[in-house]
Amino acid sequence: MSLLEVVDLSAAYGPIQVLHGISLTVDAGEVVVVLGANGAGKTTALRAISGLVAAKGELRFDGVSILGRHPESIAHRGVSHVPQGRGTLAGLTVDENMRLGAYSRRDREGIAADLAEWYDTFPPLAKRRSQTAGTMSGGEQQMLAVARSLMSRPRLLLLDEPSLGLAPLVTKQLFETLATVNRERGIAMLLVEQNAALALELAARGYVLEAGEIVASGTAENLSRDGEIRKAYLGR
Amino acid sequence: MGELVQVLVYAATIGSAYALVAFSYSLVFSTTRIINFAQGTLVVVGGYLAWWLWSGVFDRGTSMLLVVIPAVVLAAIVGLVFDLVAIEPLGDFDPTSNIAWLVTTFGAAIVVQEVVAQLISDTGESIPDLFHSLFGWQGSVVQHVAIGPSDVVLVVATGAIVGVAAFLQARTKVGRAFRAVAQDRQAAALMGINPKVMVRLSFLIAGAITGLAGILIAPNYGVRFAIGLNLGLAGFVAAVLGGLGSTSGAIVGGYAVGLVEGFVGVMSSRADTYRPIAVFVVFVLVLTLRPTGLLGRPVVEKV
Ligand SMILES: Nc1ncnc2c1ncn2[C@@H]1O[C@H](COP(=O)(O)OP(=O)(O)OP(=O)(O)O)[C@@H](O)[C@H]1O
Ligand SMILES: [Mg+2]
Repeated sequence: MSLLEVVDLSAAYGPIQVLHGISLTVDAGEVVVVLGANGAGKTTALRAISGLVAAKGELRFDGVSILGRHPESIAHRGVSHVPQGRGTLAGLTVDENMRLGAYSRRDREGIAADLAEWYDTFPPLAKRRSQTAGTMSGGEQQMLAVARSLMSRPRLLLLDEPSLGLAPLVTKQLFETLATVNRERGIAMLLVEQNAALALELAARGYVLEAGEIVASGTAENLSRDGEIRKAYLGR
Repeated sequence: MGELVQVLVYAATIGSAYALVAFSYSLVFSTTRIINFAQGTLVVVGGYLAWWLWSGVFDRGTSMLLVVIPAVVLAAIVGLVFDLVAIEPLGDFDPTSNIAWLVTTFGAAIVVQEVVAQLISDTGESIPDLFHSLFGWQGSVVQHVAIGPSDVVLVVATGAIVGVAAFLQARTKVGRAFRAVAQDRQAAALMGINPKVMVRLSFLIAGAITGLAGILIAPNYGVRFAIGLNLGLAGFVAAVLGGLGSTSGAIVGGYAVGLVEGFVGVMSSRADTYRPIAVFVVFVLVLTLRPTGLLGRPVVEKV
């Protein structure tokens, strides 16, 4: 049984159908990438999984249906969504954002330990603990969004274009951190990313979404070798 | 000199009541982006509940102080009922494009108004002072202006409530969650915070605070419908003047309206007529110069 099971999932904004029955799975501890052009419905797919957008079909996390549940209850179960364009709380300080990331947890010591660990992993955040999140640079806010998500000790991380607006070097560091987190903590990830080369390096498997439908899927290795995918997403 | 004292005492006392009501509007606005137009009725509801408990339930045999807490709790519950009856049934809605909340909150106000009108006499009811003396002090006359223990209590209580609220918002987990929902409901929900619970909490606290304002001014002004209307309106003006959603704005707005009214009080013999006009002029002037209110920040639209 996979950690996340999406079967024939459809979603619409009003009368406009955006997802036309997509199916995908993410195993425990696995990193899966979703590739697709602008407007393909990648963000919508993540929003449907985290409960922000109403959907039809089947949606199971850890064997339990989460279809139609509220976002906060899905978050409680261990799904943490880092939305496209960050979703940090701009008016709160870095430290407050981090602590709110651990909102569903009760283990004080574990929270303190994680806080120390993520500040250690993301030194720019540690330096800006008491700074208002909204006054940080875009890259720093992106780091905060990821670190804050990790504070919830998720079992599945939904990452929507985490490299958006990051300098190439910072993007590389972020992906290295994600790989470490995945290896050491066994956190599964469903990753939407424009930087397909980096994403396919991190991921074990991937799906290609086109106009709301899955048009290809396979191991990261096979996808990177596929001629059309190389042309469309890897630019070579 | 005597007139200045009069203005300041007026501004400090009635301004405190305005500040409390404004703070209540602001709390609800911060979690919902709506104005609860039934908020003002809680002033008379609070006063009425205190009067009912004191004269009816306890048969005037107890100190007013003992009825304050149960009356405030009941007012808080009425506040919560507003949310459950007028707002929650609307589901998730965008308050700027779907203005059903205008109808439901006004509707709730009318219902409460009619119920209370049946319960209290036309001339209103009166309740005794909460404190006859404060550490032995029974009031003084400064420059021909009487200052009593309840005036001091009103000002101190306002400061304490705002201080405690600010502390809770800054330092506790629930307070942080409250601010998170006020800022970005969706982002907060993704962190596992239930926005609905925070909205209920804001209505509950707003009910308690407005109810308390009604109880604190009742010894001076009586439990009358007109008082509820005045305070509800002045509190709303104060909240917008200071900047909706801003705590410090609500306080500044409350005392600013109190000051303007206080000045009119000493300058005109027909103060009751000119007070609302003066407040309105200041209101329009401030909003023309600063559309987000004195301390309000423009809402940044997220893409
Ligand atoms: N709130 C909305 N209301 C109406 N239509 C929407 C809304 N959000 C997205 N859409 C539409 O749904 C389609 C898919 O959008 P989505 O954001 O899921 O794409 P995406 O694959 O994430 O694109 P990008 O790579 O640009 O982020 C687009 O055509 C978009 O215009
Ligand atoms: Mg997107």
